[in-house]
Amino acid sequence: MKRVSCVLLPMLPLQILLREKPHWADAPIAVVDDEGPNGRITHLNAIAEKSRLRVGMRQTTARDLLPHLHTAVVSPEKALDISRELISSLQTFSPRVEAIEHAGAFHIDPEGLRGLYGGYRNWATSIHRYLRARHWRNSVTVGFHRHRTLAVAMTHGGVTILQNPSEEREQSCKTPLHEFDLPGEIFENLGALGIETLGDFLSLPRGELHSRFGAKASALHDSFAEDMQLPIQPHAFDEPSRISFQVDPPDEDQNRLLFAVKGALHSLVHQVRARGEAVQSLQLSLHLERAPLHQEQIEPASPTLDLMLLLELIRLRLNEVSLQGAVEEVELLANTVRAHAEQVALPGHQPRRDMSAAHRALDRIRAAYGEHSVTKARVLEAHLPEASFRFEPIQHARLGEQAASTPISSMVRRVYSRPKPLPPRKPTEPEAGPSLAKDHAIEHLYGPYRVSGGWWKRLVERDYYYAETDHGDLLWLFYDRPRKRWFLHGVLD
Amino acid sequence: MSAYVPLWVKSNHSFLEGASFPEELVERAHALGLPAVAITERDGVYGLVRAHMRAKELGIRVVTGAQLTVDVEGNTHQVVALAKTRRGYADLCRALSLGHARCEKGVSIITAADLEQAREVFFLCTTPATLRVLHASHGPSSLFALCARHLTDRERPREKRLRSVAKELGVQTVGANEVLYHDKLRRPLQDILACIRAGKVLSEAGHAICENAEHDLKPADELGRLFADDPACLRRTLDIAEQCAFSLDDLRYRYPEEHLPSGRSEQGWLRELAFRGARSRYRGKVPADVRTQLERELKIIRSLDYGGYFLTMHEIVQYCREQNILCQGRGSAANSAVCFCLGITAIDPVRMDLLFERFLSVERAEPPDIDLDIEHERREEVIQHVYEKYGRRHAAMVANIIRYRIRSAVRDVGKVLGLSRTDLETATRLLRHRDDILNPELLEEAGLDKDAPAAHHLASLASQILDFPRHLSVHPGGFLLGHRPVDEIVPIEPATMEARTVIQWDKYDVDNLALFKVDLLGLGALTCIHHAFDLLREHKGQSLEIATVPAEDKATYDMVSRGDTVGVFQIESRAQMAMLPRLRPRTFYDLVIEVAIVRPGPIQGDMVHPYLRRRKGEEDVDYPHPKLERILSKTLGVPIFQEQVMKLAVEAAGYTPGEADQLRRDMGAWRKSGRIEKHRTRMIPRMLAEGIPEEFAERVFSQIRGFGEYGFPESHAASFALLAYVTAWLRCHHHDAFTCAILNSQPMGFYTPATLVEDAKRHGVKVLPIDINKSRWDCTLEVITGTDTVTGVRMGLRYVKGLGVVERERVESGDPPYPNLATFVRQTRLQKKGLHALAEAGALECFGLNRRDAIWQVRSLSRFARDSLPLEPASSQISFASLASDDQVLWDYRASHHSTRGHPMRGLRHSLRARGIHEATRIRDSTHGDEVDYVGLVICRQRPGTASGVTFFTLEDETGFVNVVVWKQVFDRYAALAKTAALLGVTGKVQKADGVIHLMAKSLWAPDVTDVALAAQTHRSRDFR
Repeated sequence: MKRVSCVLLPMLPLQILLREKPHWADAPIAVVDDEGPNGRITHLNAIAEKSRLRVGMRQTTARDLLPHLHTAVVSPEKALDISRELISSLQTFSPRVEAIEHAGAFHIDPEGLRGLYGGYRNWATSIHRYLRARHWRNSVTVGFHRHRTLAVAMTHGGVTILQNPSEEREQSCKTPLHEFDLPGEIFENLGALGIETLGDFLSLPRGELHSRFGAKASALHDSFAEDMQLPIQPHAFDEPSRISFQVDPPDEDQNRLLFAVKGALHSLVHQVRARGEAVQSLQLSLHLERAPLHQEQIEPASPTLDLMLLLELIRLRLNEVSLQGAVEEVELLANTVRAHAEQVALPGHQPRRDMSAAHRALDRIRAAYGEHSVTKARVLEAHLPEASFRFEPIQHARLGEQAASTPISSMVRRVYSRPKPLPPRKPTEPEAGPSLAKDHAIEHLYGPYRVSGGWWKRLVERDYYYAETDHGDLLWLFYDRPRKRWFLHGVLD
Repeated sequence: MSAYVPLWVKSNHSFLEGASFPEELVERAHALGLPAVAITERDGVYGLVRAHMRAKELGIRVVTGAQLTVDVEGNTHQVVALAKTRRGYADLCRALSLGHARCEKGVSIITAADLEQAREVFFLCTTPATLRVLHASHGPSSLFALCARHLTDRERPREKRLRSVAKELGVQTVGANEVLYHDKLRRPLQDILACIRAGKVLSEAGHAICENAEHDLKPADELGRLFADDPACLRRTLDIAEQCAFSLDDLRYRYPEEHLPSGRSEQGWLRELAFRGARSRYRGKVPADVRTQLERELKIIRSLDYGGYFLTMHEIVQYCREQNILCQGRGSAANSAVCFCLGITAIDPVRMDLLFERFLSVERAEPPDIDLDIEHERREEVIQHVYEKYGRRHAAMVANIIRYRIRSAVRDVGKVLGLSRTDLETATRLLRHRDDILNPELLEEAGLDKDAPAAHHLASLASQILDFPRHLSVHPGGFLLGHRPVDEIVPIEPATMEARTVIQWDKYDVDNLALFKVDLLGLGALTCIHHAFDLLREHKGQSLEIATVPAEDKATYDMVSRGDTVGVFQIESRAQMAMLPRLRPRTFYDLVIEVAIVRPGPIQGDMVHPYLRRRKGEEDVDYPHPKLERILSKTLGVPIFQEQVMKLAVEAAGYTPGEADQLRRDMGAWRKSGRIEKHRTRMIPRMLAEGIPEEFAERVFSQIRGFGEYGFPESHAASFALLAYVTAWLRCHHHDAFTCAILNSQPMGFYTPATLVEDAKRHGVKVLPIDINKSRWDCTLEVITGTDTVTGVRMGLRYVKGLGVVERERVESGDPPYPNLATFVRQTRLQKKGLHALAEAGALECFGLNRRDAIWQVRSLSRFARDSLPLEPASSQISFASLASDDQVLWDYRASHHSTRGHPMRGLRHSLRARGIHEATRIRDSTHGDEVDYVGLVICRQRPGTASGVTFFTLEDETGFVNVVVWKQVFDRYAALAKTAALLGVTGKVQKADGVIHLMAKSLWAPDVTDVALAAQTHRSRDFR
C-alpha cells in the first residue's frame, strides 16, 4: 500500500518567536494576533500556561494577570516565509512536499527514498534530526492516510512508523478534537455531546453533520473518509534562474567579458522565458583573481525579456566600475516575476510622448550612475523647511500633470541642502544680525517667521528672515536661537 | 501700548486643543494686568463657568464668547463670536445648539442663517469669505477682521487679503492671537493634545501641530511689538471688551412654572399639596411639630421663590405613581418635611430630627438638590416624560466631562510619543497594581528605557495632562430645566445615546451658577421591591407599599444582626456583613448608622471602633468639648454623618455658615486634589484653640478627607436605610418572593444569581429548574406539586445564556405546554443557537430527552422551524450518554450561570473531606486560633482603599460563606493564583470576634482535586469593585 508521511512543527508561531528572541526561552511568552490591548492570545508557552493564561484571552486581561508577560505578533508573512524555507529544506528529503492548511504541518511523499536511506525509519529520523538540529521542535509520522498521519503526529513526538492502516486508525482515533483547527463554537457544541476525540467524531453519521454543525465539521469528517483521500499536491521548486561560466584564462578586458556575458545571458533569458517569467533584476557576480568578489545589481524599469536591453544595462554599469583584478568566473542570477502579455497598441493611436523611451533613458542613467541617481521631489507635511520635501528614487517616469490653476508663489527659493553659516555683524550681539561677504550688505530684513518644534527629539527654534541686499539679491536667512548663530538657507529667484 | 484684551482664547475645555485650564488663563491674564480676557472655546462654552468663577475671585472680567465653525459654500471657517448682551449670549448659545444638532457628536457647523438673529454679538472673522457673508447679513458694525500674528510666513499674505476685503467692506480690523495655553511651557502638551485629536504620532504630526510656540497668552508689550505697525487694531480690543458687557452673573435663571389649577398661586398650590400630603402621611392628624416645620419650610421656600422646583419634583413623583413606577427621594431632600409630605421622600424628618438647613437655607440661597431614585428598569420612561413635558429646548441632561486619569494619560501620551503599545499596556497594567503612581522604575519595569528622552517626556506630560477634559459624556440622571429655553443659557448637544440631549456644562458648573438640577437616578433595589410587592399581591393576597411594611420587626432585626443579609440593599457586602454582628441593629436608627458607618469617611477617621465600644458600654460616652454634645449625642460622641462634621466645623473651628458650606462642597468635589486639604490649616489650629485635643481634631480631619471619597449625610443614610429595612423584611418573611424579585431585577446588587439561588436554597426556598413548559421569561412563583400553598421559585428563561430580545419575543409567542419538541420548535421558530441553549440548560428535559439527545435533535429540527406542516424530518436516531449528577450542575452553570440541582462544591466534598478539608459550617464551629485548610469557590475579591493593601475574599461552598483576609505580602506571594483562581484553597488561622469569623490566610493553593474543571466552568466572581 502506498505510504505517506507527515512532518509537524507544533505551535509554529511560538517556535518562530523563540528563534527570533531566544532570550525569552525561560519567560512566559504569548503570541498575539494584534499588538494592541485587545489583541488575543493565539499561542502560549508552558510557563505562561502555568500562570493561568489561556489561548483566546485578550492581551489586556493576560497582562493584568501576568504583568511581565512577553508578547509579540508573528505576522502571516513571516510565517509564510518560514514555511517556504521549511519546504525548501524538506525538498532535500523528497521532491514531493506539500504544506497543508494546519499551521506547521507538511505532507511528504516517502516513496522511492526508502532504499536510499535504508528504510522509512531512517528516512524519517533523518528529517527529524535535520529539523531538530536547526532548533525546530517536530514530529515525523509515516503512515498510509494523509489526515490520519497528521492526527498521529499531533499526539506522538519524534518519529512514528505506523505498520498498517488499522494501527494508524487506532492511533489517530485517540487524538483530541481540540488539536484540529475547528472553530471554537463547533468544537464547544461537539464537546457538549461528549465528542472529544477524533474517534468519537468519526463515529457520528457522516451525512448528519453538515446540517447540525456546518460545512467545516462536515469537511473534517469527509477528509478522513478512505474514498476521499487526495494525492499530495507537491510544492514547485522555487529557485532563481542562474547561470555561470569560467573565464580561462582570467580576463579583465570589459569588451571580451561583455561578449562572454552575452552568450550566458541569452541562455538565462531563454530559461526564464521557458518558465513563463520575466527578469525583474539581475545580480552580476564577478569572481576576481586575488581580489574580493565584485557584485552589481542591474534593475530594468519593468520586468523584461529584452536581451539587448539587459546587455546594454550591464555594459553601462561595467563602464563605470574599475575591477581590482582579472575575472575568473562570472555568475548571473535572475530574480524573476510572472510575465504579463504586453497590451497591443491600437492602430493609429500614437501617444504624443513615448514613455517606454523615457524608461529606457532612465534605465541607462541608473545603470551608469547607480540606482539612486534618478529621483523625484516629494512634498511632505512638516513645518521645518528641510523636512517639508524629500527626493525619492523613482523607477518609472510619469507624464507630468496639468499645472495647477493657482498662481505660483513669487517667493521661489533655491534651498541649500546644508544651510551655510553666516558670521554675526556684531560678535558680542549675535541677535543683531548677520554679515554677508565683502561688498555685500543687507539693506532690509523682513521677518521674523518663527519655526520651532522637535522638542521630543532635538529642539529646533529658528527665526527666518528675507534679506534684501544692496545688490538687489533676496536671501533667505535664519537665526538659530539655541545655537545663537546665523545661517543662509536659500536664495530667492 | 498699555493694555489689550485677548479676544481669542481657548482653554483645555476646547477638547484636545487648548493646553491650559480656564483658571490658569484667567490667572495669567490677571497677573499680566490685563483688564479682561475672553474665553472662546471651540464650538461651545465648555470652560466658561470655571473661568468666570476664578475671574470673580480675582476681580478680572471675562468676555463671553465662542469660536464658531461656520460653513461658507461647503468650506468651514473659524469665526470668533463675542456676546455683547444677555440677548447676544442667548443667540450665540442657540446657534451653537443648531450647529451641534446637525453634526455628529463633538462637532458643530453653523451656517450664516443660524446667525441671522444674533444681532448683539460681535463677529471676528479670520477669512475674507466669512467677512463677506456676515457683512451681507449683519453689516459692518458688528464685524471685525481678525488679524492674528503668530510669526508664521503664511499669515502675512492672508492678512493682506483680509485687510483688503475689510477695507472694501468698511469693516474695522482687530488684532488677536489664538491663545491655546497660558505659558509657552505648555507648548509640548499642546502638541500632544493636537496629535491625540488628529490620531497621529509626533514624528508624523506634520501640520496637525502648530508651527511654533506663539500661542501663549502674551504680555501687552510683546503683543504691542507684533502689532507695532497698527496699534489701533490692538486698542480696539479694549473697546470691544468694553462693549461686551455680558457676564454669566447676568443669567437670570428661572425655574419652569408648573401648570397650576386655576386661581392658585405657585406658593398657594404648594402649600395646599404639602398639607394635603401631611394629612395623608399622619392619617388625618398632623402633629403640631410637623405643622410648625411645614410652615417654616414653606416660608423659606416662598422667600427664595423655589416653589416651582418642589412642584416639578412632585409632578415627577406623581407621574411615577400613576405609571406604577416606584421612586424615592434621597440625599438632603430627606431633611425636608415638605418633601416628605409631597411624597418625594419617605423619611419623616421631624421624627428623625433631621436638619432642614442642610437642605435649604436663606443664607446660602442656593438651589436645593433633590435626587430621585427610580426603578432602574423604568428610569428611561421618566426621563422621556420630562423631555415631553418640558420640551427639548427647555430640558436637557447635565454633562459629565470625562477627564484624563493616569492610565488613560499614559496610554494616550505614550502612543503619541511613538512608544510601543505593548510597553504602554504593560505600564498601565502595572499602574493599576502600584496605586496609580507613575515613576521611572515602573516605566523600566514595563520595558521602557527610563533614561531615554521618550520616557522622560512620558512621565512629565502624562502628569501634566492629568484632569484635562477628554470628551463630553452624559451625567447619569441630572436634568437642567428652564422656564426659558435652556439653549439660551448653554448650548445643547445631542448625546451618543439616542433621544438624549446634553448641555455643555457639568454638575459643578450648574452648581456654581446656582441653576436648578433635577437628578433622576436608577436604583435596582426599587425594582426589586416593586417586583416583590407585586408577587405578594398576586400569590399571597398581601398588598404592601414601602410605607406600610411592618416597622421595627424583631425577626427582621434578628436576621440582620446575624449578618444574614445576602441581597439586602446596602448591607449585603462583605464589610457590612462583618459589621452587623458587632453593631447588632435593633432599631431603624441603628440601620441608619450601619449604612453610614461602613464608609471610607468613618473608617479613615477611625470612628468605627470607638462607636462600637461605646455602644457595647466598653467605653464612656464623652465629648471633646461640652458644646459638641448637642451635635454628637445621637451617635454616642462619635461623628459619623457628614452634617455632624459640618456642624463640628462651625462649633469647634468657628467656621461661618458660608465656610461650612464650602467645606461641604469641597467634600462633595471628591478627588479634586487640594480642595479639602486647604481646610486642614484652617480647621485644626482653630479646634486646638477651642481646647479640643489634637488627636480628636486630626481624626475629624481624616474623616473629612474620607468623606471626600464617599461620605453619607444622615438624611441620605436614612433614605437608604429605609430601603435596606424593606428588603430585609421581605427577605426575612417572604424569602421566596424576595428571591424571585431580585432574580428578576438583575443586574443589581452585590451577588451573582448563583449565590442568590444558593442562599435561597440554604434558607429552605424551593428553587425549580428552567422548564420550557413551565418557565416564563422572568422567574415566577409556583405552587409546589403535592402542596396547596407552598410556593417555590421557578427559574425564568431570562437565565438561559444566549437568549435575547428576539428569542424572548418568539418564546412568548408560543402556547405552552407543548406536547413535543417538534411542536415547540414550529410554534416558536427559534433559531439553532437559541434551541441549543435551551437544550444545554436542560429546559427541554420535559420532552423526555436527556440534554445531549436534545441538542442532537434541535440542531436538526431548527431547519424545519419555518415549515407549516407538522412533519418531522427523518434523521439518524443516536442516543448519547446521560450526564452524571455533577455534570448536570456543571452544565447548569455553563448554560445559565446557576444550578437548582446542587452546588458545584458538592461533587468535590467527598474527596475534600477525605483530606480533612471541611465545609463553611464546620469552619464556623472552629475555635479562635485554630489553623485550618479550606476550599471554596471565589465569589468576591475586594481590596478597599482604606484597608492598606489587604484583600478580602469571600469563598462559598454548599453550606455557606467563609470570609478570608489576605495580607498584602501573602497576596503578592500567590498573586497569579489569588487573582485568577475560581476554586481556591486557603490555609489560615480562624479569627473570631463579636460573632464575626474570618480566616486569616497564611498561604493560598490550587486544590488538587480531580474535577477542577467543574469549578473553572462555574466561576463568576465579583472582583475588585
